[in-house]
Amino acid sequence: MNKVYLDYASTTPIAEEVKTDMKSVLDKDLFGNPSSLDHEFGAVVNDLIDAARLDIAALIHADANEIVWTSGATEANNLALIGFCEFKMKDKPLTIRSSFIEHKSIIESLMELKKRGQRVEFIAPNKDGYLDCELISRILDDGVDLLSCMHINNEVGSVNNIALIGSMCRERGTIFHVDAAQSVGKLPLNVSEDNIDLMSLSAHKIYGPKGIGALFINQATVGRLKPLIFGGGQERGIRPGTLATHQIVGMASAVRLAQSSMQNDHQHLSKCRELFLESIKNIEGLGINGDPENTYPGIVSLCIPDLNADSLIFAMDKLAISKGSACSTDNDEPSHVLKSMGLSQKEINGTIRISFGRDTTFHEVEIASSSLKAAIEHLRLIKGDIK
Amino acid sequence: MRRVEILREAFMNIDRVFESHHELGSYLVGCSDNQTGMTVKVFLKLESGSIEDAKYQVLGCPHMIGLTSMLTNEIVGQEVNALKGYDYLSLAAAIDLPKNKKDRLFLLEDAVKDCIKHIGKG
Repeated sequence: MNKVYLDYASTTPIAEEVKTDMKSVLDKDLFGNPSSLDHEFGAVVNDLIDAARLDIAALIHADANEIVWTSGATEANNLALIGFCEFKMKDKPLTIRSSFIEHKSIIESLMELKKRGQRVEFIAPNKDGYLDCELISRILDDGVDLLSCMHINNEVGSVNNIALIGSMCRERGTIFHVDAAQSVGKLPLNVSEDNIDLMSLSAHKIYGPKGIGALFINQATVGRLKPLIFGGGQERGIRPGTLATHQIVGMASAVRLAQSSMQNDHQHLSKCRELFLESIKNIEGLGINGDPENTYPGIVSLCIPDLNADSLIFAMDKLAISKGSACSTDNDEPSHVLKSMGLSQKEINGTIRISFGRDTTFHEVEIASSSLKAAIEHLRLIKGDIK
Repeated sequence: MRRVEILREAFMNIDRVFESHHELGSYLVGCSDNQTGMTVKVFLKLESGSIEDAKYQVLGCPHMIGLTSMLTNEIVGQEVNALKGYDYLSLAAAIDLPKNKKDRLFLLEDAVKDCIKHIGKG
């Protein structure tokens, strides 16, 4: 493909090191069922999975037995929320709070829990797309059983202060779930210091394979969850099903790579962002969604309110970019994240997301900025005097 | 040519865009918009009942721009009365307009209707 890929918040290509590690599983006689511990075929792959579990645990400062493999962050989010509530709910509904900027897998899991009788409410973010900790503090004072929030927002890159929110939750006995799909391997995570009880992880945002993720379950504060699927004792019965060895090895490989390159990646992405914003700063009527001081550098949410985002993307045919969440692009609905940040319909219609990655070159950043300028010029000509 | 290429060609073609240097007074203007913020303007210059020139302005998605660009290209030289029976579905077929974007056809048709209703009003 001839396009410049700038949609790393949606997914990333699999790193060569990860491919090599996954291929080694597929090439060698490592096809055994990791649950078949009565023979060597199973025992060998079980060792690989144990080692992978240690790698994931090390990245987030957890114990290996607190990691449960899932098919990705969507399943981890579902398992965290539904599994927790179904396990804990006895005779009265639980009080659950989350925010409007969450991924659909959180919002729709919570809507399902609401249908099942739980008390669910969503909190509006501030205008920059992250949660106001003073507001969270007041909400927690009213008594909340479970609070779920994302670390990095996938559409605008805003970063929630999970350390502060975690400490407020722990003080009040609220279980704290973090959707770290966008932040794992990109920002330091410490479930112990940050008082996190449940955390969802994904591999494909950090140059690992799709179809694999994990859920951290704090053994001291949560312990067990009710499974969403049944039929096996794998993962302590919380997530039954034969484990996908090559996927798990791939995720661990991606995690090790992310851990070793986290600082370099962050510096590189910051430079890409700086170059890009500098080269587009004189474009009339262009805004950046979110707070520049509190944003993950890899995600740039651009707002050109007098134009249509679909047309901007179509006009930039050298680039592979998106409007926002890849999980919402099948419908024409406006972004719930931007809406909750208070953006007007025009601002939402004119918002696109550019996300840089480890492989983005400065030359590609230049192509992106020149493509954006050309697209805006083309569409403003076509629009003429339409307001 | 693949349909996406037909769409891209129409989308990138600015020959029929109404620009500020064009003489507005010599055109009939029709406009329509919808709740999602899309607006279509059609500009027709008539001569003895036929369309001498057709221009457009659009704020909208690539399909909206492509459809309008194609329509204005096609109708130049035709009798203005032919617009009443214009086959908008043929435009949709040419670019394989997705089903969930069929409303763009109505928007375009409304802009054309709004334009030709001015005929004879001086």
